[in-house]
Amino acid sequence: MFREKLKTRKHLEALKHEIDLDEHKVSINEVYRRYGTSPAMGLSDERAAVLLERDGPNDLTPMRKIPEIVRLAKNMFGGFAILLWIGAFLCFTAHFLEFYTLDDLQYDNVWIALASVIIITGFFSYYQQAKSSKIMESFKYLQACVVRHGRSRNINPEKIVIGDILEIRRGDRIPADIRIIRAHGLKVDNSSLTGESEPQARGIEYTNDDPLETRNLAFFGTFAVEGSCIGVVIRTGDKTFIGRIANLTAGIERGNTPIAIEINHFIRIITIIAIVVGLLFCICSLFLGYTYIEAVVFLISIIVAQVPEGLLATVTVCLTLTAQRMARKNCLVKNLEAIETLGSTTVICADKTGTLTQNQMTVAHFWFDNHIIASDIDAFQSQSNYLKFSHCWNALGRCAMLCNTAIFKDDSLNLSKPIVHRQCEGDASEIAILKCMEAITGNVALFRSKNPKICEVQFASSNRYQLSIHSTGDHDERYLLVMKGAPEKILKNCSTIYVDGCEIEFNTYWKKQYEKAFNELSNLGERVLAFADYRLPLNKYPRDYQFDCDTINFHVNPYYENFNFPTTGLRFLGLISLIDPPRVNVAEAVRKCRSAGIRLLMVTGDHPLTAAAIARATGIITDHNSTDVLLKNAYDNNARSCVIHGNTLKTMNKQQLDNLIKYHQEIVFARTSPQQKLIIVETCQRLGEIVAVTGDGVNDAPALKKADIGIAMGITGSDVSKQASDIILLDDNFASIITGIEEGRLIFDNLKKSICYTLSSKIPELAPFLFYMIFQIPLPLGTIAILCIDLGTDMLPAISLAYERAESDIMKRPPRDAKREHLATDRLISMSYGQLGMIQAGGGFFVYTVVMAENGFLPSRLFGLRKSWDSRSINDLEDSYGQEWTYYQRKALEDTCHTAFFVTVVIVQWTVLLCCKSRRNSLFRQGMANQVLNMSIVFETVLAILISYTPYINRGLMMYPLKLHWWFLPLPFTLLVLIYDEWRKWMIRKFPGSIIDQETSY
Amino acid sequence: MIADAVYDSKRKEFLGRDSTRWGKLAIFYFFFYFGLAGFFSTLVFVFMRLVPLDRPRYHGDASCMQARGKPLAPGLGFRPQIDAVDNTISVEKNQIDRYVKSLHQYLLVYYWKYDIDRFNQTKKFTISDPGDCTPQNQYGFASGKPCILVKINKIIGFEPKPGYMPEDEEAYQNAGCRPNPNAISIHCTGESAADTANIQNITYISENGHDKNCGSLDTKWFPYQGKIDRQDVYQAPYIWVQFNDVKPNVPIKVICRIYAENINYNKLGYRALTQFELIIKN
Repeated sequence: MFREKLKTRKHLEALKHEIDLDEHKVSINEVYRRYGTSPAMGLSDERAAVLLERDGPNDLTPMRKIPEIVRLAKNMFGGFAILLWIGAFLCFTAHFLEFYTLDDLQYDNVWIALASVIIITGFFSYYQQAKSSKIMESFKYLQACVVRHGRSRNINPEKIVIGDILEIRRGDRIPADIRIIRAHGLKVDNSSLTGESEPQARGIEYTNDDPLETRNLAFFGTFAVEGSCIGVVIRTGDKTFIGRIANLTAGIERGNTPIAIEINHFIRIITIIAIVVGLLFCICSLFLGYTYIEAVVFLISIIVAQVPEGLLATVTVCLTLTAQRMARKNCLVKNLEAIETLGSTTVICADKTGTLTQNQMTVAHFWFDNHIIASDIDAFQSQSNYLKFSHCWNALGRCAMLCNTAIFKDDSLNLSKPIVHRQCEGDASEIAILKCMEAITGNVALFRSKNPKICEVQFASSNRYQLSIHSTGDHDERYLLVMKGAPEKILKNCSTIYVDGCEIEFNTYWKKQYEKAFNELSNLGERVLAFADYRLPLNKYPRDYQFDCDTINFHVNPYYENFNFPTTGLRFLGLISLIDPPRVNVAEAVRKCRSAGIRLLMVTGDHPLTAAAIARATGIITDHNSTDVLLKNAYDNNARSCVIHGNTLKTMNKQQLDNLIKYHQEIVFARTSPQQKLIIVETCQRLGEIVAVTGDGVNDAPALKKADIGIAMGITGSDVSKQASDIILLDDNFASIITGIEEGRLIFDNLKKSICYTLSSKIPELAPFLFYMIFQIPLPLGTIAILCIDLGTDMLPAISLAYERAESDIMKRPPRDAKREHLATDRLISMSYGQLGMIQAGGGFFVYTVVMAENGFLPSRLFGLRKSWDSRSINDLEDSYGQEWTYYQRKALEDTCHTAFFVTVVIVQWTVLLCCKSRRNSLFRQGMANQVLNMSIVFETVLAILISYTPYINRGLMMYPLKLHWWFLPLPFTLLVLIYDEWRKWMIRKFPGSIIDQETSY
Repeated sequence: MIADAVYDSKRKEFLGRDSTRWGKLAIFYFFFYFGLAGFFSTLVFVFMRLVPLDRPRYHGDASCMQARGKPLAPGLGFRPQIDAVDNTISVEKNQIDRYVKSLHQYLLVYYWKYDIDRFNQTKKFTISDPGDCTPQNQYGFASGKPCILVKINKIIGFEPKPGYMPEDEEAYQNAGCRPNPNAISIHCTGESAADTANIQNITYISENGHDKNCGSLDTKWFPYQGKIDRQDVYQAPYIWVQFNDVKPNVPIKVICRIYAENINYNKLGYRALTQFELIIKN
């Protein structure tokens, strides 16, 4: 176990550092030589076929799947099934023992019944599991363009082999790891790989030893968001970078889910009880002078009576129903048991981008005329009046529209959508500005066409600005230079500032004003862009002037002195700040999480400022101190909130990490790497927390897998993260998690009720047998009738409890303590066996007494009668009234008693079911709104009637029609259950902590 | 590990509870079960007050004796039956006492009821000429010709009609019964042909005399009317079946059955018959 962890850790470290790649270092010709390809001709079809044969398809092997047969076998032989198999085997043996020794074949069919029960429930559980795991459809992508035999053609990406020459265009998903041969303004979105949300520029230069950092490699699974390129494939399939993470993820083992632990715990208890009781009475029976065969038969009967055969199927159905309900609320559950895990979650490690935020940059604020104006696209109409009269705004808006390469996708359907939902092409920030401008001015495209672009310099991380030169449509002959970029960069190039329609000197005062605004905005976690423009003098730059910017290669020589136009002395226009805003209902969800006692940790790759700002906006951090203070809180155990930078995290040892998570309520992890995510999850788990992790990138996959429950994003999530997760949020909305938690908690409560209900019929099933053995009365309840209860009448009511609504606001109490609060507690068993079960058994024996007496056997006659009763040799057994009964006559009477006992259990279970609806509340408060439950009462009664009265069916199940008034005999006990339980709950509510509360509230 | 779970010596907890909590639980359950037992007993007590004294609420066709369309038919009983499970009668030198005793006991109880006052008004059954089947003769057991008592089950209100059911005609003819017009017949055979061959010579001793083929029961003894004040006031009629010539040392399975116009015979359903095994050891 430990060694495995160590291996995992080592593996993970290997991820980032030990990639055996040198293709980015060697010359491109060496790469061609190595893979026997050429950029012009590509591979031949024959060679490609050979390589495909050798390396296999370019596809990730799906995660190691448990073979279907093993899963089926698990359902057939796991848990209770094994106990029942033993029972069936013993029955089978007993059947043959009886066959050769006695001619009384009492157990002739029971083993067949048992075996069928196990096989049917086994198949049922298997089917349910298979159904829920099939929901995961594969997300395939379409076509890839390769050069083969000197011609480019589209092929299925699975057919790509090493050495293929690939053509990648904007928007393509890169289908393999490639070394770039030629690139044109290529930017790739590596977010699924590294978590960086910024698109990264890629070209042909070798810039870094680290394959992830170097520019001349692009990786499988990432997206080309801008530009295009041609590259040679260097890795395919599982050997790709993502493939390695996927394999690593598959290697991470994790323990059982809490519900699985609970069910195992429960099965263990029941098994121990069944075996202990069984053996005890088996031994007792030997002392009482029974034969070995009889003792074995007793053992079997006790085991059959004790094992709740239908319970596992009930649990599966309950979970499935919840899964369906959650799917309707956009929570796709891949692993049924995960539902309950969500309910017992104590810590959520939430990814920021895409989960808490919309993953869509939006303009948040403007700064011009020395004012900060909040931007809100929807509310803009009212503000636009003010904006229209401002000269500065006009200049800033013009600059923002022109110095922007983003465009709306040009199809009428897209353009007819509301602006916010339109699809765009370009950088996220530019798109945000484009959308904002479109909302304010109405038609950016028209404005751009009136002010055509003469030339442009694209944004590059080395120069951190972009500029373009336009001829304007406002009858000004001068060309207009517009520039946008990082504020400090733009500031350097400006000499004047435009305020209130006047161009004034950008002096110290204004610089201070600018500084103030900039700090304010960046403290909000917003990305700030500065805008400037400049009218190029007509005399120097006449109308046909040839601007020269394309020839400049920034990567080689990133200095603007090379332009044939000035880029300094510009007029400063203002700032626009952008943010990826939190989703609308996240703050509410966070609040609910908190009141539900769940801690929320934000784990993000983003900058601490941005992370802290979002954390504040969503309520993850409630501390009003500045982020700098929060950053210093990491080692202060008294502080409630803190922000941790990835670099700080790196220096912490285990103990410090434990303290960090133990003592701080509100933590934001910024600039975290995938390994650190995994470390955070492990630390939480070490502290006994049940951790949920949300994530969308490939880099999140190990943490998702390691977490007790991994939650992936359905829209933005990568395949690998989806595969590693247990639950997929189809709408990427964090608020859906809250729904899930609520459902998870509810199902735990309801499963408890369901188990309490199911177990309550165990005593009335066991007691007849014990009386039969000890007091030697004719058997009051047979094995077939027990199976009729467990697998017939009890099933639907037990399931219907899954539909029961919560008793109180389950989101206002802390998550359950996995160590102390169990599904089946001693109190539940005491309550179910010792109280509800005993009352039921009392009812059963009363009805048994009545049926026997009304047919001639008064209670006094019954004691000690067993041996004669069961003997085929005695054909003249005398009853209390002197009548004599043949063997079959009294067996018919006995089976009638079984039927009556069975019916009694059903009728007393009516109110047991009503009692199980709530654990504290009075039934009158809980109400009868659960229609499924009401129907189930009708159903079980109808089923009992059918079993008792339908010809052939009753013969098959050894049941007999009952006299009408026998159906009313259980009613006193039915009422007793109700009255007792209402009293008990009243005591619990009225006297919390009293003996009743201590011993009976489960 | 398991020992720890059972008894935690550090916290003095047995199965997770200390003695105080166990005590409280015991008190709680004491009252709970006391109450439940009281409730149960009250109901049973009330019910028992309502139970009829002389015959069960459901008898005859209304009782569970008649179910699923199977005709109501009395079974037969045999004596001596000294073991509840084993129906073997093993006649062995020096081992016959238990059978003789058992029969003796049975008849003692049977006739002892004559002393009850009410009995005088009801029917008294005796076999005037029991032949060898007397206590003095040790019911023929000593001489290797055992007398087996065969009786018909008492069923309240059931009146057998003389004759035989149509499907039994062939068997009835083969048995060669010639009963009185108002009597029903009992006939014993071996379970298999071989068994039958081993018990050729049988004497049936009925109230009406001795017969080689069949015993007979007069219909005047029927129907059984139940008890009076919970007292037995009725003698079920019986016959003696004496096996005069039994092949020794061979277990012989014997079936005795009854013939009447309204009694359905069914071997699998144990109707209208009784079975026992007979061995005479030298």
